Amino acid sequence: MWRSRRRTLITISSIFFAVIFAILMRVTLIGTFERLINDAVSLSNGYIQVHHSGYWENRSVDSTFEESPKLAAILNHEKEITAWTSRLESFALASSGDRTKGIMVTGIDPGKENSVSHLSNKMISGKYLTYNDKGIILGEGLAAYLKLKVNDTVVLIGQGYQGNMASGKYAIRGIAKLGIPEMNKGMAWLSMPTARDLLSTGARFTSISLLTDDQDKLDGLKQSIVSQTRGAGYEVMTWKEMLPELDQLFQAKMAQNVIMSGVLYLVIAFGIFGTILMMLNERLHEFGILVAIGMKKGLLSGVVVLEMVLMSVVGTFLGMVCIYPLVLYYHKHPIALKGNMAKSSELYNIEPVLTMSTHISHFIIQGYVVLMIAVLLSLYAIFKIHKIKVIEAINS
Amino acid sequence: MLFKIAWRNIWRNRIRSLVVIASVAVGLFAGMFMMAFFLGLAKQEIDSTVETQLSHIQFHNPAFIEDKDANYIIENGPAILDILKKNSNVKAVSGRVITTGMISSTSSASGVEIHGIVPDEESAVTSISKNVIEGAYFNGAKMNEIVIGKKLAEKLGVKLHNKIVLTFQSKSGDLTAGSFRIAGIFRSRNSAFDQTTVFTRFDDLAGLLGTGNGLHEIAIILKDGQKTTQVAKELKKKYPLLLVQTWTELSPQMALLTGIMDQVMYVIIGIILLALMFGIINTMLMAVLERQREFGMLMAIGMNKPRVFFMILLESVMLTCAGIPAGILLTIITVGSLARHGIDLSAFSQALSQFGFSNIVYPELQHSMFLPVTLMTAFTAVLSAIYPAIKALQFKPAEAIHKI
Amino acid sequence: MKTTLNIFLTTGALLLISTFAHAQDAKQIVTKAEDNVRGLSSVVDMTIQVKRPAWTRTMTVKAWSKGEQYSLMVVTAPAKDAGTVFLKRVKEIWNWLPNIERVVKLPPSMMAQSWMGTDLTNDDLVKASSRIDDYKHKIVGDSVIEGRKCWKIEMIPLPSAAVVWSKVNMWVDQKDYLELRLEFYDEDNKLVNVMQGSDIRTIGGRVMPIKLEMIPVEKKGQETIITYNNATFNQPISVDFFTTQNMKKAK
Repeated sequence: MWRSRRRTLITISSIFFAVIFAILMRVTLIGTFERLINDAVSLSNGYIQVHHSGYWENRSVDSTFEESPKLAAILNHEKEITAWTSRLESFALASSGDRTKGIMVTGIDPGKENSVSHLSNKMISGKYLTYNDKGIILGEGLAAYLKLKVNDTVVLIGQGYQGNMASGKYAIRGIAKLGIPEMNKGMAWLSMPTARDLLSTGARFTSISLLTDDQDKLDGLKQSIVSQTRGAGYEVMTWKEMLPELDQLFQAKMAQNVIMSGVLYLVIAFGIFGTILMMLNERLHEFGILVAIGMKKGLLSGVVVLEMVLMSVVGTFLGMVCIYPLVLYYHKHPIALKGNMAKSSELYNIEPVLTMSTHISHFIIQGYVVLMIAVLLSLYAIFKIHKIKVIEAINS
Repeated sequence: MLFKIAWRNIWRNRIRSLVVIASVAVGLFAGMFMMAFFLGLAKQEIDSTVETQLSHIQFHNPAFIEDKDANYIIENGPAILDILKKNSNVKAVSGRVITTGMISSTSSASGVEIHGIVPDEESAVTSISKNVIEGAYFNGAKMNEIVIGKKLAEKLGVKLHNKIVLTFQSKSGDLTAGSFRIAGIFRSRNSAFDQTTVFTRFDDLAGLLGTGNGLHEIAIILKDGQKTTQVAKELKKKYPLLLVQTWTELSPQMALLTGIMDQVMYVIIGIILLALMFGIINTMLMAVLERQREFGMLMAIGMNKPRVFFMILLESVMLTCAGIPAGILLTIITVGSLARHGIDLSAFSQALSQFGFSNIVYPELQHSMFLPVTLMTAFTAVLSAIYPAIKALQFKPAEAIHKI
Repeated sequence: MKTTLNIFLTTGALLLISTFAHAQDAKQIVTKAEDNVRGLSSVVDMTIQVKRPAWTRTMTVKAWSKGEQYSLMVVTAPAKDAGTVFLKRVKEIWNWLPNIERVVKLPPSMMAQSWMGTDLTNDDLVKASSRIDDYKHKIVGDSVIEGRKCWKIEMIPLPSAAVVWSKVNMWVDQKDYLELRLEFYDEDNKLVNVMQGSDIRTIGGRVMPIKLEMIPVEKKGQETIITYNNATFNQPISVDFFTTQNMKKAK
């Protein structure tokens, strides 16, 4: 193998590059889409939500559960959870002058909420809420409909806990702009103590939403929480259960991914095959001599295949290792997409970026696939060697 | 002269040549397939939204978008509708009366947007009529029939032929109610739409609203979806007082997602071409290495370096030229048959098949694709030959001959 | 022979007349009963108890009403809700909320929401439909409720009526025309809601059941009980009393 360094290097590099491209494609496709999901999910349901049994079917303020230090401890302890926050949500009427609109008002823990949905980044005027704030943040569309600005007053009326009337006047602390128009026109946020006061719930929540970095471990995480909170009357749901349509979109993307990867593998396979073919051709002379001096064809094939496997492994490994830093970089600094699309997206808060997923599984899977392709193709060598006619070979 | 030599070189080592030709063909095929696939994908995603809800272009009274008060009708709606029907770009157009209100059953109630439609007109514009899973889309001439989504029916606990009551504000601001019978239940891909949109006959709703033949919304499906922005522009100019919007303006999120995926496509194709390039470089490099002796000889007998370089390049070019038609042929055959049957995505994903909606993508070839992809592939292939060609020049003739 | 024929004819005629008279009666009975419930005008003091499996809530409300179209209700207890006022003018409902000092008109989207957390909806209060005009009435039998003989009247809504029910049964007391029981059925003939009157007394010079229970049959452990504590009837109240300006002053 070391005899012709050049040759070896070329073979290894073909595998090396194949692995790199396979990985790049996969991480870009998956990374970009996962980020889109993140944008959609973090402001509303979170990746996983814990709520009172029956809340998802019937979103009433009566389906609340008590603040529980035990649950908080469990959630803080779970390593997979990157951030979590609790919310108190209820339907209410927002009114100003003679304009009234039905909205969803959410009581939040401002600091924690920010770590999950980055709400403070979406503020376009005024200030973000503090924990004991008595003010309110309105969605931009809602403020526009009610013709209100920062420091104006808005009235909320609705149904509170256990049939209590909920009503209150709130000074607008700030206005936030959300990506999705329905949310932009129909949401408002209060600090948790103020919301509790409005809805007369006492120390209770309607839901806890949490984020995690690792999509693949989602079910495992859910199960872990379920088993630790058994008997407390909670229901734990993943975003796939809460937003089945988004999940369908996601699965469709994954399926599309399979097809695209397939095409890439085809191209890669040809590239590798070409290299192998050339290599075999070149060494025909060498093989011929070896066979002539008595080496069994079987042994020769074995040796050759082994060489190729070794080169494949080295190429794969090197490929995975070398591309990792690049992927990591782009993961942290997504590529902003250009074009007039970028402008409209700024408006809607979905970031048009290309980003890459740094999940190890992608690397390993792609590495594995390319390796397999290479090994399979190298088996061609056995075929070729067996066909060697010694004299022709020596004369080549 | 160079030409002849290059030609003969190619024929002399058939295997090598075949591999390069095949690589180029596959590379071309890959690039074009990807584009066709992405095009089919984008179409699938756009079509489903455009067909079920948005249509290509919609008209509204500008005040209607903010506050769906029954009074905000499109001025001269019916007249405009007639004019649009005769527009050569328009495939189908429908006018609707719309209001928001409450739907109640014996056990539950929900907020909905009520669309009063003319069934014949509407079924040419949206595909809801094809998504009716129970009952019918206003078959008979009965009064006060309603078609609701499956999700809503479940929430209200009602079945086909049950009675429900719609409550809303009439044009004069009075609270009005009417009872309707469920004539059909539909199911679309968007369950939020299913839960919040209900359809009644135009006359039934207009009668209760008191809006006569006034229209709140006009929706247009064009013969050629690609002309949407253009046609919208013309219409905006013609009706400056009305709010004319394309589906991209109505649902910027959709437009955004499609935009993102477009750019992703270019990146993917880029990666494929890069993979192609490296594959060809490696193959050519190997070939060059193998032909060391040959090159050494050529240079020894007096062929100068530039000539050798061009010879190699020429070989590449010829091989590429052979590969391209092969690639095009392969593409046409594959995409051609797939375009008819479509690729069923659920075959590639277990989870997907559980959703119950068919997820078939029809890859589509467009004439405008051929040239750019071909050029890109050709360029890549020839570029890939440069490095090996340079390498070939570095052989020292004496050493090379000794390799014998 | 002639006598027998005569008797036959007379009996036949009488039967015919009485059945005919009865059919008229069903609607008349309901009209009388409904008028009883609405009265011409009234001022009442009532306690509303909302029961749920997990909790019970009690409010006291003072209500003025004129016919079926105007009513004003003030919550007098508990303290948290005291001063909240509901105004119904024909088909509109307005709210006065003292702690935010606002008059709000209820939009259609709030109509199906429960009224003050009870088993009544805002829509029930507005009563978009009329028990007299929107139904076909038929007497189908007799029953005894609270020791009083009642007609059982089956009411089927007219096809064009904006009513979700497929059938409503009403029991009207034959002596004082009191609505003692109402049963609401859906299209599968399943009983969905029951309104039961009990504890019949003389109050404000009228005989009426002072306890009314609203029971959603499918929801176990859930009901709303209205008890009349005090009532004055037919005191003249002008329509001007029922205005949004007056809401703020109501006590």
